[in-house]
Amino acid sequence: MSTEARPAGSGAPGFPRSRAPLAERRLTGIVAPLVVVAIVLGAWELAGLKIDRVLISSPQGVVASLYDMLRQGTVGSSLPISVRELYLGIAIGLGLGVLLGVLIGRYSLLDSIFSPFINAANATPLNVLIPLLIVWVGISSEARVLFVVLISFFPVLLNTAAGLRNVSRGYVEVGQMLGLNERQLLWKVILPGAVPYIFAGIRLGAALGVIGMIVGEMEVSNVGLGYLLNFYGQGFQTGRLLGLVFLAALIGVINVTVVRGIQLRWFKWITAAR
Amino acid sequence: MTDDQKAALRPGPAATQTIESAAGSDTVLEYVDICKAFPGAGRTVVALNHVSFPVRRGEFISLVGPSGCGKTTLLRITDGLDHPDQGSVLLEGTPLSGVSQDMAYVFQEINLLPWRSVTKNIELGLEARGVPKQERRDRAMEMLQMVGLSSVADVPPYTLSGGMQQRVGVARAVAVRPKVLLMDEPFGQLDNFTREALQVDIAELWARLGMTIVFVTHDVDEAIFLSDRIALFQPDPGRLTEIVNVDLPRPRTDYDVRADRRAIELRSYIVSQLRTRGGAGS
Repeated sequence: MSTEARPAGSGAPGFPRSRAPLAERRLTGIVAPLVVVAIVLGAWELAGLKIDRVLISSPQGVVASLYDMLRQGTVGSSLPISVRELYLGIAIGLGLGVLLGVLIGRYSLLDSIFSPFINAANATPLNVLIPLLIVWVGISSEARVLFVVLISFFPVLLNTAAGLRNVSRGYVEVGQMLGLNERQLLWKVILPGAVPYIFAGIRLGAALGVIGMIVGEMEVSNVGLGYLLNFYGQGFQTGRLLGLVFLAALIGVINVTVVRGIQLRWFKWITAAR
Repeated sequence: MTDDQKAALRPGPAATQTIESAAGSDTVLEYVDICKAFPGAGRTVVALNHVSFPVRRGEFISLVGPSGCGKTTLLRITDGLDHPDQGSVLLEGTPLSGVSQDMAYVFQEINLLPWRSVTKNIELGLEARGVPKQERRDRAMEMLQMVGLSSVADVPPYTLSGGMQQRVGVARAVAVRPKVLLMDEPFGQLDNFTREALQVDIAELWARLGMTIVFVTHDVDEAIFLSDRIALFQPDPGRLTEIVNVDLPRPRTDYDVRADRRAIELRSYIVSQLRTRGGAGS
């Protein structure tokens, strides 16, 4: 990721690379995905007519099931529990990830001490830790929150650390030249310079947290969307199952959209300065 | 050209002091036997080989030479961004260690911080010096006015043209009121018109503020237009070969320096010196 790329000339204002006009871009950005969705839904609906309902259901069937679950309060009683645990876990995971990422990215001693363990943990399928979590805190809300923390923590940690290490040397030298001390350099140059990487990590963490939530609930509970997924799966209620899948995906999309919105609203320079 | 002609062209006796051991009271900065090598795969590049010379208070001195002659390295050493293998830089007689608060640097790669507005970029050095908020803002605005950019105070820097960005780069450096301003090919990335406009501006700024400026460039015309003295550097090993006096009247914006007879003589002398002493590769 190059934060240094500047229009090399000249008297001309530093506009980003030329692209299609804004209105046109917006149109393709909305229409193109809609067309794809329409084709997929159409094909699915057709397939649903031919194939056993237990295997695939159909878009109509899924929507109907989702509606049923909403009306009967099945979703209404599970969703708040899932969502609360999800966002608690994500918040802790992101907070810890940024904090430790800054420490590791800033102090090479900490980096060399902890990196092997972090890389090992990051390469491990974290589900293997679920039994351990249960031993520690029981089959409980805490276990599920902890699992979300674990899942969302690593991408934030790794990206934050990489961000601090990759801040443009030019920016750092500007800070040094102007006489900033180490603390000022960290707060005024290195941390802001690492923000693009930190955001990339937060986007990943916020999306992966949903996986943490679902897996946690499938393994460690009798509540939440994950539990319902298990329940309907075992009962071959494919329409309801897929309705829940849709809900889980929606939560993930909302998370990523919110993070992206924050970035575009308050950190415009990340996209504009390149 | 005969040796006599060369001697005639060469500036007066006071000008050709390549090495001055005892600096006078008008010396603000002095380089004493600076050596710096960059070990590389295969061969070590000697960027600076025993470089010594004084910089006078208030003068505009340019370091000129082909790439690889160590002029940028010397400038970075001056500001403490690099460290010499040997020798030292004296600021008003005191050896420098680390980055000096009394100097500021204008980079070729301007690197304005994109998350800060134009004024906030200029304020950064004042923040480092603990200047109170209101005064920071006032001084930043004053600087912006000086470089003619008051209207863009609160815009993000990446919306500015290259020339405007470098004006902000100059304002950022001058804002800390340095005793010595170091400029490293500051106009190297700009087009001709913008570069000439900025040359005029920096000459006026220098005359107004009475700062000492050490200016690195490979553009001989630029050096002649701006400088009191021009230090010629040669590569391989990087070394100072001569300091040339630019005895042209100021302000030089009042007449066409490029067409001035004396300037043309100086130019051809400098170019020939850079050629003949360059040896292989030039």
